[in-house]
Amino acid sequence: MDLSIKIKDKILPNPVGVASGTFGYGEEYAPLTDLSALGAIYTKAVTVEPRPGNPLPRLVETPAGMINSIGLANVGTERFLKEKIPFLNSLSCPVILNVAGSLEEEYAEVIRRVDSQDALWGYEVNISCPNVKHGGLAFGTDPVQVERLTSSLKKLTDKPLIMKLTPNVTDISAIARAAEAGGADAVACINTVMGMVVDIHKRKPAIPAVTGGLSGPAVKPVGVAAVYRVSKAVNIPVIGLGGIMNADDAVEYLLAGASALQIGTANFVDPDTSGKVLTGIKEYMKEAGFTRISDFHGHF
Amino acid sequence: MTNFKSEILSQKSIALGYMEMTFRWPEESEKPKPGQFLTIKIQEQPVPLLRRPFALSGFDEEQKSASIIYQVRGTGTKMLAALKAGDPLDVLSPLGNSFSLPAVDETPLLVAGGIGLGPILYFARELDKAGHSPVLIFGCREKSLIPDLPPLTNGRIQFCTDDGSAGFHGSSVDYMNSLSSDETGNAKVYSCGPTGMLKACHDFALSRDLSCETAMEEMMACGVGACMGCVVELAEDQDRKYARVCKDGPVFQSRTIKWT
Ligand SMILES: Cc1cc2nc3c(=O)[nH]c(=O)nc-3n(C[C@H](O)[C@H](O)[C@H](O)COP(=O)(O)OP(=O)(O)OC[C@H]3O[C@@H](n4cnc5c(N)ncnc54)[C@H](O)[C@@H]3O)c2cc1C
Ligand SMILES: Cc1cc2nc3c(=O)[nH]c(=O)nc-3n(C[C@H](O)[C@H](O)[C@H](O)COP(=O)(O)O)c2cc1C
Ligand code: FES
Repeated sequence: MDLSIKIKDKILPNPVGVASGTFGYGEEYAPLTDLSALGAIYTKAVTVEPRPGNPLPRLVETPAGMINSIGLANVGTERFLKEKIPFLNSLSCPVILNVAGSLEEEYAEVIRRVDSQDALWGYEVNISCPNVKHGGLAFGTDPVQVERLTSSLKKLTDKPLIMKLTPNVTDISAIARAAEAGGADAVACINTVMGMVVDIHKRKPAIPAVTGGLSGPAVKPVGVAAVYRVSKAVNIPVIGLGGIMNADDAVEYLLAGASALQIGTANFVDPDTSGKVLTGIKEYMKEAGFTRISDFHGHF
Repeated sequence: MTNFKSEILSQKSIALGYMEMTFRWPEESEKPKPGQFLTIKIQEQPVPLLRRPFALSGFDEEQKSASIIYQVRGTGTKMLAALKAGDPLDVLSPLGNSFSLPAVDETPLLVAGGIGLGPILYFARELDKAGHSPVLIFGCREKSLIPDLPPLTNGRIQFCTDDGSAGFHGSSVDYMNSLSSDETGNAKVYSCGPTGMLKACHDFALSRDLSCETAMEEMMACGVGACMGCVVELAEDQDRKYARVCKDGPVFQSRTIKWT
């Protein structure tokens, strides 16, 4: 059975990674799951400068989901290199840096500063961030900007470049095609779905930022549909995520067209979800007589 | 820190709306310290989705058991209260830091309100066993909320009720303020409970130039320091704006917190 997935000229050993923002930089979860067995660790977003993040409360639970308003809280590129790289260097699984910014130039600057690090397998570009030069609308909502950002970042690195798409758009296929046209080596979808909770006792939004990002089982059908549509629209690998809690959920994503997966919110509920999902995928493949991940594709 | 499958040993009501649950603690898991907490995955279905955090309220080395005291509040704690002895329990623990020990000549004043009782009680018992003379001050609205607790050997427990139906008439901070400065001269304050009470303890400690540790609470997702979701805001003079309750806390020096 071959579980590997090729992205650009590099191989992910298996399809089950852990999603950005839900796994820190790996260290916290080392006692709780076998990091070396992960298909990839997608780090918490890194921006050029440190960001303290949003005011609190930052979390609210919703039916079968949660809304977060973390606000890209991270230590910035300089401290990332000093404090996080040594541990990431010691890991045998691929480490994919989630890159964020408020300007095209900021994304570029992060990649320029870290690109010589062997510990980094590739990049996942978080284009759900508001573009301050574009009225605060997320980069990922406009195909023209997505293509431009992708092609300019592509020039800076030989490592695989994955564009992570936001579901908060009318036509996610158009965004995926723009990423592919810009030279993306893969696309990942979905990032969180915009959501809001009102506290009826305080008569105020539950979080100060008013809206936040919905994740967890509640968004799974949104993610599966996005993966299905995107995989029909592009010829690069599609990495599926959104609400994967177990192997059955993962298989749904693979059958819908995903070549690899990420476990996000489920890490909070069971820190070893990724291990269990990988085992379950292998069992499913054995039963179905599948020998490689591409056997999941083309059934409908 | 381990994620282990435990078994419930007992569940009982200790005050109106408050339960105490004891469960098995695995041989190989590290001993939890007072102030540390655990998270429980309450059930398999995704509602409620997130693990629920609770502070340890006791640990029995010989019996290899630990306990929590919790208030039945919403969906998760209602489900927890319905579990019986013998039921399995999915526990992730020990998490976070712990209270620091007082100096030999310091008198620990341990202040608890509401769901803050668990960690304060655990700490009081540990100090009591170690020969300190802790004063555990528990404040609540009225008599029916007073938990049934075995007495301390060296220290003592002081109940306070807002309506005067039992113990001292007034809040726990009113009680502390009623103590003479001689009585609190070498005190060290520890607190856990509602934010208003924590701030009042901080102000009290400040007014008498005492050191004060406070166990904080915030909504949590991961519980292990990875998601940055559970932060509290720090005082202006600190080197960063926010700290994670689950990893940098839950216990903080009260002067490092921005009290609003
Ligand atoms: C470090 C820490 C220690 C705690 N120790 C205790 C304890 O010893 N005894 C006790 O009774 N309670 C304790 N709590 C609070 C306890 O976690 C909540 O009361 C419980 O999660 C409520 O769940 P629910 O489903 O019954 O209620 P819900 O209806 O879901 O919520 C009721 C309230 O509980 C809080 N809450 C809900 N989920 C979480 C979460 N994942 N993290 C933090 N707060 C949450 C929210 O503020 C909410 O307003 C502690 C919380 C923290 C962060
Ligand atoms: C607390 C939290 C923080 C997140 N931070 C980031 C981030 O920094 N960058 C990013 O691209 N996505 C971030 N995400 C989105 C997740 O990576 C993922 O796309 C989303 O949560 C959907 O997957 P899930 O339902 O499995 O969690 C975050 C999600 C959560 C819950
Ligand atoms: S709950 Fe995730 S960092 Fe504290």
